[in-house]
Amino acid sequence: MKKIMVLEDDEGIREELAILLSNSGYSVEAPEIFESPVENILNSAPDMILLDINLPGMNGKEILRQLRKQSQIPVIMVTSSDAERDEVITIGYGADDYITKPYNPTLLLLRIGNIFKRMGQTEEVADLGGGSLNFRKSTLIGEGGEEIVLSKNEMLILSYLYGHRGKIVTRDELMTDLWNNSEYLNDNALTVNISRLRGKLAEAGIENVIETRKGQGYILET
Amino acid sequence: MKLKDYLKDKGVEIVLSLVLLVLVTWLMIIFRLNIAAIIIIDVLMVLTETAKITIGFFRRRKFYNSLSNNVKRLDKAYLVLETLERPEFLEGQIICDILYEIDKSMMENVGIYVKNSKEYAEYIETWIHEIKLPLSAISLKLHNMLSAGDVDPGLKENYKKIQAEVGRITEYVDQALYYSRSENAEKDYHIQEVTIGSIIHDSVMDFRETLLENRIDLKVEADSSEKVNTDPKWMRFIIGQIISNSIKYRREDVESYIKIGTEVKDNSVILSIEDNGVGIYPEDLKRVFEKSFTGKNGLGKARSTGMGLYIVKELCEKLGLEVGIDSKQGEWTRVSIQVFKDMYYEMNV
Repeated sequence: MKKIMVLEDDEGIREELAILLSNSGYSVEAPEIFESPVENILNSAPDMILLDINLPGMNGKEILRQLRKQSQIPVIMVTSSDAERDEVITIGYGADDYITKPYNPTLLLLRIGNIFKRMGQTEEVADLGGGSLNFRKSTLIGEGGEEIVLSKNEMLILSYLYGHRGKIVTRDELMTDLWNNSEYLNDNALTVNISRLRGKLAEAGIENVIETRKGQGYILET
Repeated sequence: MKLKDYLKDKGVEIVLSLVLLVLVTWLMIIFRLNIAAIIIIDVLMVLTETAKITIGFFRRRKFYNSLSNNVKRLDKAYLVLETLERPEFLEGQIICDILYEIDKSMMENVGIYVKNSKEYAEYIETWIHEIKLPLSAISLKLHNMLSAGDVDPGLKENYKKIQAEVGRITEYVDQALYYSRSENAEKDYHIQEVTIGSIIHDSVMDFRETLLENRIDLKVEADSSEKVNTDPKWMRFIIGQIISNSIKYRREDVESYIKIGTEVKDNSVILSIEDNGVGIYPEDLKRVFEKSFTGKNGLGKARSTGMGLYIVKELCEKLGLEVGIDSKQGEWTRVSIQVFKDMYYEMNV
């Protein structure tokens, strides 16, 4: 389980962030005291840090600057001041992403997921049982070796489901992912894309891998 | 200053001098002075008086003419003192000294307001920063409650309604922030090179849930890779206000859409946001950018503050962007914004 450290001094936000992240299958460490933050981070060695800019004592930018001297742990900066300067400086210090409050929780989870995916994804081909998915060429490969080309939307949906295989993925999550990739679909279009994707999977001999969970979403079983 | 007016002003003095002349002449006749001497004295008296009036006129004319002309010419009339030469005659010097004192006291007075309004703007920025913390906590809490497994459907409906209301609060909070920024003379934007695609993307992401919930189709047909120079955060707010209007003034009897397109020119990109909503009455169209103007639509079901488009216009002016609006009542509305490609266009600070 990936561990995320939340450095946030607002109690309400800190508690809810911890719930949000642990609901999404991360282990969370959210300290309430901000003394020697850099040492604390290094000691607990999280896989990612959500770092608020306005912290008592050492501010987020300074923490990031000092941390980067010793570690390349992914950092997402979180702040409610939308002064452009902050953004430029923190990205310069080596933050991996930057989110302003009040943020959309689904989008926050997606950004976290994307960073982990960027770090971890070395596989080029995913086995879907009966056939496989080629990420680079964005094609499905059937058992007989036949290739079926996926559209950008179909590819985004299938990669997202694959990245969360075995878990229920809500339509809202899929929508967030598609919109985040500049594909501004409506509800009908999502349904159409999923049924087309199912068609192509069946064509490649991969039957019934995407299940519909009524009122909840979809799940990819492999 | 005209000679005629000056003579009229000096009328009493001239009449008195003439009375004096007559009196003196009469006395000289009584004392039986030589007739030639009387004539010489009278001529001298007339000459002296004429010289006095003429010299006085020319000295004053130079000073007062440049004073009144410069006041008319300057867009900031209170700076007139800086444009004047110090006159040689006493009255002029007194006027200059008084003008100086008046200017000084006005500057001090204005200074107080400038300081107050700057402090107020700073307070608004801080306050908005603070209010976003509880708003974040609420929206996270709602999200967590909604994604808990076994939520009663009725409760879920209510959570979603609260979520939508929190969204509205956030929108109004941002409006206040940008209103304060648009009214403030301080330069607080940050121009950088961004793609049209990322400008559109940032703006529409804020409205994903509202658009989907209200079944409004978003069609983006833009040259996304085109680069422009502008402040991306201000743009996000500007386009957000326009999208928010499109959502507010949609028609229930059609399949609503919002179409975002671009037209690429030599040195600029025209970004257009079009909807098939209720449109704007022709007589209101010219006035929609006015402060607090609500028009006929504003009186309908979606209550309007009349501030959104005014702030859009103000921000666009500060950023040096051209903004225009066109509409057919009952059919469509289209807002277009011209964004420039290079950095060196004129900005009105």
